[in-house]
Amino acid sequence: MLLLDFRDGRREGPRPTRIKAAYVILLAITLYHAALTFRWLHLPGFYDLAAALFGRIGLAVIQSLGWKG
Amino acid sequence: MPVYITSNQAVWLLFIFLTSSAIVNLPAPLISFAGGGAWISLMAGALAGMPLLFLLLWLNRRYPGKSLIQCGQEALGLPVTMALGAAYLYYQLHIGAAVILDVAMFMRSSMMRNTESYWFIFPLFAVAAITVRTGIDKFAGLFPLLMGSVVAFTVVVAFFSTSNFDFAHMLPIIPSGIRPIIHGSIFTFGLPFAEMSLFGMLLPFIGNPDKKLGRKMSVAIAGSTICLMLSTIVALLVFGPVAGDRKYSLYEVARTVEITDVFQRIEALMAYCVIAAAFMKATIILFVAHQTCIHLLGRKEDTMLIYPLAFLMAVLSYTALHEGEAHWVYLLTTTHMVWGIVCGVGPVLLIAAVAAVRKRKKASGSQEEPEAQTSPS
Repeated sequence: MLLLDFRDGRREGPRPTRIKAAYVILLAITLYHAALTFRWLHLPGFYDLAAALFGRIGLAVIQSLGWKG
Repeated sequence: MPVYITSNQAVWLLFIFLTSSAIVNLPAPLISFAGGGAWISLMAGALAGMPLLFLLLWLNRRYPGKSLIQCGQEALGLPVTMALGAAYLYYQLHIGAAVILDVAMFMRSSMMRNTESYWFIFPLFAVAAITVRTGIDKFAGLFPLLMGSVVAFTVVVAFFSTSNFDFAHMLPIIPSGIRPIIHGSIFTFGLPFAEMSLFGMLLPFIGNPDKKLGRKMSVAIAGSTICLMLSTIVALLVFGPVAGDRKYSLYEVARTVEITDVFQRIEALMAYCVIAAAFMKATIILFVAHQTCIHLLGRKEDTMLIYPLAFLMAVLSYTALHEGEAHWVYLLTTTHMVWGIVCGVGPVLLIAAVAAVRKRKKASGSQEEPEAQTSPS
């Protein structure tokens, strides 16, 4: 299915380079997370970034409301 | 060729988006936070979500036929919109991954314990991606039928479990003060009402917006809130405050149903509801994520990024569990609400605020111009 879409001009005509670049970036992020899942890499992932950005604020808010975990 | 949906289909999509997976997944965590006052929290969360809908509708009237990203480009310019759009997409990827992960966790914890979660995640995303490729007009026509069956089965389970109701379980409504209710309200605003911000990408698909669209969409939010309140109250009536400790409490309610020898063990109905609801919501989210992606890249119609986005969501969904289910639940409890406010509601608020200021400036500028023309030089 993935490769079917990449065949340039197969269905909807040729795409701009930025679309192809976005396709490659999305696949690269996917492979990066697959590597994290199989523990081939030990680097921060999608949810680590979210926890770093929003985790402390969220925890502070709900602890102020009496949440004990 | 541009594809359009009717106002009524958009209203149905909003109802489906808000109700679908929340009807099964919401009651347990909500009761654990807010106790007997969970239904009050739901009403408060819905009331907080209404202004977001009105903002989206106002933006749709201010920039007719334009998506939220295009509105952002008009109001804020390209660089700021790219940053906001990236945050918006980040949030969408998370919701899409979380919705399907809920199904995998549900199936693994209740019905198919020895099956790996990827057997649920990848096929569901593949089906969602194929559905998105068929076009919004097709699935906007199909989903009301599926959602009708989900609501009908939920009502059947609620009706059959009336013999297990204990109305004393509803009391006390506010045993520990107002703070748990506020916690529940914030939680329900994060799930599902803040997620409504995604409709900024769907509203331009309404070909000929109805004059009563705002009223109809408000009714959809009210209907969704009533359905969610019904499922929460049923869980409370059957299990009382311990309903919060039972994951997928409506599924547990269905397990308690036993009317003669005919109607018993009807939990399969709830399993169907979980899968169908998650499929519908994941399809809508994937469609919105794809629209966000291609609008950020300056295209209007392109289906090339649907499968890579679905694949990414599927892998994120599978990755989310690699540190354990408890870590995932903690992450959702602490981050989801703030994530939704910052990356979902935030861009809508900012774009609407700048658009309102620009409109006012434009109006005052056009008022000054005739005065200058009429004044003696």
